[in-house]
Amino acid sequence: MGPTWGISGPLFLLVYVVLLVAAAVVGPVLRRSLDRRSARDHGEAAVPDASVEDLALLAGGRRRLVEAAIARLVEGGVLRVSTDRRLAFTGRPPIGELDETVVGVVEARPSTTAGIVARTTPSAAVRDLEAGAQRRGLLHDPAAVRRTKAIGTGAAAAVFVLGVARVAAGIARDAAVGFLVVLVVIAAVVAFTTLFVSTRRVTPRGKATLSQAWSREMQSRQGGAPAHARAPGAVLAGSLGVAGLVAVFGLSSYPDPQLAGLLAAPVGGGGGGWDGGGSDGGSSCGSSCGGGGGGCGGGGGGGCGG
Amino acid sequence: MTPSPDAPALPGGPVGVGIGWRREIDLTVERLPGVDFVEVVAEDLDPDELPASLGVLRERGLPVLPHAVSLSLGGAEPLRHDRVRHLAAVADALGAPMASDHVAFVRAGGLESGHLLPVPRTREALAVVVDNVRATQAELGVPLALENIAPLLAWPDDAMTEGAFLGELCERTGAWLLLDVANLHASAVNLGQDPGEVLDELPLERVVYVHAAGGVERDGVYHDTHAHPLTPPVLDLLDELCARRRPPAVLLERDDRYPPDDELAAELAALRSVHARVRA
Repeated sequence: MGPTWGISGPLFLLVYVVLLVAAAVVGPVLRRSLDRRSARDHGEAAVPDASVEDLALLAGGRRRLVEAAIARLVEGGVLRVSTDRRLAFTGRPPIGELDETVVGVVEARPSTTAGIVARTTPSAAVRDLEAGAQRRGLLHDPAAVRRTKAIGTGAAAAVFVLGVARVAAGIARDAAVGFLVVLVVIAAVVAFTTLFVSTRRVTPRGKATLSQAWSREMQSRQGGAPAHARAPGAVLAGSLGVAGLVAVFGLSSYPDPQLAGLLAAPVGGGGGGWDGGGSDGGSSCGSSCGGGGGGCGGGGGGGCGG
Repeated sequence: MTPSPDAPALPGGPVGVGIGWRREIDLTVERLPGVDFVEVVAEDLDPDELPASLGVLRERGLPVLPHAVSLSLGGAEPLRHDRVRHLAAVADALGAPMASDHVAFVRAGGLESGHLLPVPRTREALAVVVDNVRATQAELGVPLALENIAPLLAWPDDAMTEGAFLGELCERTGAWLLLDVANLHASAVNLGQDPGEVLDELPLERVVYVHAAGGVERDGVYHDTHAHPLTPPVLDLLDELCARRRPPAVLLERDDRYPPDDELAAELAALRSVHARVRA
């Protein structure tokens, strides 16, 4: 009896490992090439005039964008928060499409930050700002990222199916399949993990922009900020302002600790999905920390390096 | 007539400027500058589970005064003792030096109107209110203050003026007055009642504090909304009252459409400036 499919076990294992590695890296490689293309088209230097909205989208996506707007509105007296964490409209008119949208959501039904975020993220104002950040080369086109993701998933799934077929054929012939079974399981895991790649991806330019804002803020804190500026209620922001601070570091960085505690989602309180359950789905934690810190902040609103 | 010193007419009563505490603005009230005391709507509170925010205020030594809206002291129906007991329990839980409700009825024929309705100012009605107030005082445990309401209509058979009615009510029951200048203004606009004459007849030394609130005038009718900014005529009336006899304290009532914190602070400052003004 010859080898299954005319290919010896060791040779098949070798080929299978190569295919598996290829399937595992095809997505990242394609995304790396997206980065290169973006760097070619838009450069890798930080945007000099990045807005608070840009920084929020870069640091934490749609959710952070809405959180930064909420911070700005609370600071400006347009929204107030009560001790039950509920946000309410004060009647002072908001300025700008995003802020108007947030206020509209609050007016329709006062609720906590998490509730307002979840109901605001699908709005046109949020989509428009995201599209603007994409146009200016700060975020990748989600459709392009989605293609790389589909290719990665497809490749890993194909490798998995091939492995299953070979295992089945091997078992039918009473051949040894132990090593292959292990590899097939790995293929399944690879295919599964590709599903969680976020389609919201920061470009090199976006990373540089966020990193610059991050390091400037750190410098201004280490540099001049006198002790009294750290007192409750004092604005810590060097140049970012309250909304900018929240954009980069999350709601828990709101300079007034009492308000920060009420605005940020309680730990373990289920603040909704990273992107507010939008079409981007999935988690995109930690892809964009300029300063190399951070990651997802475990629901506590603590973003990169916070 | 000597203007009173700033010492409260009622021992332990409020002094200075206060604001109505509401859940929607609990944090605002905690953080507003220049709040000397607060008032809470008694019906909104469970004496066994007081909001933590009120605890924060009490720890700072701020008086928290319960204000009731449902006793229907002007009603011909038997007094709801359960409501009096609730008010007493809230006042006790808050350690309040006093409690208050309105000279009005909210219930008749078994129906709750949901509004404060004016009592006909007749001798018979006065006797009923006096009985109800005495019965309330007997159960309350703290001094009771009575507030004038903002009627949109008057009874055709009113035999007494508002000032005389309230004055005699206080005299016969020993109750204190919670004088609402916005309601006085409402009566002036809507019923043509001269607020100066009311002030002339009221026992101003019985005023424990004053309510001031915003409203709007539409088509010649003043609506005491508690949802709009204070208006100059209301501040003027407060000024006129203070010129006659300065009440120990004045409180801003705001029940809806809460403005930004800085606007509320400005309203409190406006009240304080009128209240604290040195008068010749």
